[in-house]
Amino acid sequence: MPERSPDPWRVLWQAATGDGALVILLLVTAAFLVLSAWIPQQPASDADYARWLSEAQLRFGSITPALRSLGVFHITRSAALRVLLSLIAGCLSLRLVENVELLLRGRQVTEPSHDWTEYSGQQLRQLLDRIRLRRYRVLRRSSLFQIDRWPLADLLPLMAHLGGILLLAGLLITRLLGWQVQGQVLQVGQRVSLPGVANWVELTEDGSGIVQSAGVVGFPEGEGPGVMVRAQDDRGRPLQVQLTAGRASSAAEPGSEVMIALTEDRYFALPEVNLVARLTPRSAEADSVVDVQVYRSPPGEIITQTASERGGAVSLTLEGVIIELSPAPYMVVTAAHNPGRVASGAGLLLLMVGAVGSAVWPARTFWLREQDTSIAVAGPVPSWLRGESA
Amino acid sequence: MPSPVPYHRGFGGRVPDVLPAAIVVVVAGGMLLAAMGVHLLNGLWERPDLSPLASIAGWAAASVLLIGALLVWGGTLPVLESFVPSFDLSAWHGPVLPTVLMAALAIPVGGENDTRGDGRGVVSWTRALHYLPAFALTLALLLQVSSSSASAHDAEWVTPLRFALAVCAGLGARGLGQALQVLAGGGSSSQWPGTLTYSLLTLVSGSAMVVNLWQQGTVWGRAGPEIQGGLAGAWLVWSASGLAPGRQPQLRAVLTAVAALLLMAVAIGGA
Repeated sequence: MPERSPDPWRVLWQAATGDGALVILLLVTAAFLVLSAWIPQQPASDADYARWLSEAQLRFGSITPALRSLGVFHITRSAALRVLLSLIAGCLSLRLVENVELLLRGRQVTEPSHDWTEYSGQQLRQLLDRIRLRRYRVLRRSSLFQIDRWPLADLLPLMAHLGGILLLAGLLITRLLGWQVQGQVLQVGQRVSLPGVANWVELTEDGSGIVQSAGVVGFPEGEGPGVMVRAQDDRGRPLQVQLTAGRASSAAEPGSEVMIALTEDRYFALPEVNLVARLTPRSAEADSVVDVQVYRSPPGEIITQTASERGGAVSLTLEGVIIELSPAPYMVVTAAHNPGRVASGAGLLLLMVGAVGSAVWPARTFWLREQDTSIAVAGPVPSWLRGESA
Repeated sequence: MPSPVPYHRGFGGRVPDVLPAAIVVVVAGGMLLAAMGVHLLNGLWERPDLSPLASIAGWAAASVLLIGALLVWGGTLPVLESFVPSFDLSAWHGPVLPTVLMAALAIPVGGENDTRGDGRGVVSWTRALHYLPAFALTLALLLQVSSSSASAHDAEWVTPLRFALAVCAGLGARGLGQALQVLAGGGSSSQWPGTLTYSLLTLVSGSAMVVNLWQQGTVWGRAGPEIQGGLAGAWLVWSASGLAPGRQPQLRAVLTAVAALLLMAVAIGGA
């Protein structure tokens, strides 16, 4: 009678759900991630490109173009990494199905596929008592005893697999629908619009915190000095203050009160009295002393120069004009919209519980068989029993 | 601008103030070397059994390094604030911080030596490998203490994540010692250092990611690419080690060793 060839679908299923496939996928992904940590990855923004390029050329020298053509500077954004993550997600999904089946099938006694060995030491009743004390479940079918940790031992890998799938799904959603805006400079009470409909982030009036629209997470990355500028003439009439264009910003509309973030040297003008002032922070600290120089414009001659108190507070009186600077430090804010946050968070929690639980309480099933005068054991016997097996 | 490294005045010259730290490290390294030597000797001569001497040397080295780690990491704690300034810790800076903690935790004290092997001689000399990662870390510590760089002072090393990573990597180094023993002698060894490291690594990195997600909206927050890639890579390799078939202990040992080395590199790597 010819030997029946195995069902190819079953073989495929076993290969996909086996530990070997997942081990290979995890190792290849790990290699990609470690490479991306070792090799500086090309930044997405043009602003950091020059710095990255010089760093890469300094580190890799003449082989930089060759490495570039191999794509090692784009590992984190490469199609290969995405394919790998997709394969892991698929593998975890199939293993999840199998885990569910194992969990449901866990009420049945199965025959061991391992060899039986003689066990010497205790009577069966005493042995089973010891096993139950260690929170193992004992199932019996005639003289065969199946010992396992059902349902916990089957539930924990299921949680780990579900967690991994949720985490990857959350990362995918974030990749497709999420965004992040870095380096937003905000001063007290200022609000900036963000991508999307009605998304914004704002620094509170007291400058102590950030508020944002629903679905947006804003967090502070740094802070620096800033001032609020007011000016009035000798009759107490407020003068218009106009912030002149700097390297980092465009000229703003004039107003009687203007807030200036001192990310660099900044200038403001008082057009009604032909004065221009230059503000130079002495450090990047929020309470930095600020050097103030006031020019007559035209011709551009310095009328006065002084230093503020810490934080930027200073009051100047020049030819009947009073210029007041009060502290208004700025905060650098990064805002992110992450629609996959809940899925990723839930996935991480499930993954943590499942992975740690599986490591501490690994799935272990072994069998005892009552023989005429002795006991036989089969399967991965725990170490506290192994010492007594013959 | 003056160098951030303080110098001894006197002795006719400018000598970097690394002597106290170097003495501590050399004493610990010597004890570890002695412990390894005892186990190697035990492999040659079965009688008398000298392994208790190795345990004593290991405990002593661990105590010296743990006191050093406690002083340098606990220097900012209110409880130790009044105590720590009486010691000159100027040489303990930058990557020395995680390395001293890792070296202290890597020393196999506390029950990994209950190894079963085929023959007494094989088991005994391979036990020396348990001490090898700790000894290598102590040598690295000596190099770090004797060299100083301004960037090491500037970088942020004392953070909860850095501390947790150093603890994970220190315990991981114990797992590395176990893995080396398996690769050398094939003897079964206790599993708990590896299990503890993997569990702690999972909890630390997972918790950091959840906190980042909620506070900053992204999984990695402001962590640098070295920590992102290295930590994720180490966790994936350690997970693969756990999934590798139990009937191939050599494969498991290789994967554990790779994961532990990655973790150590991440912990000592630049902030």
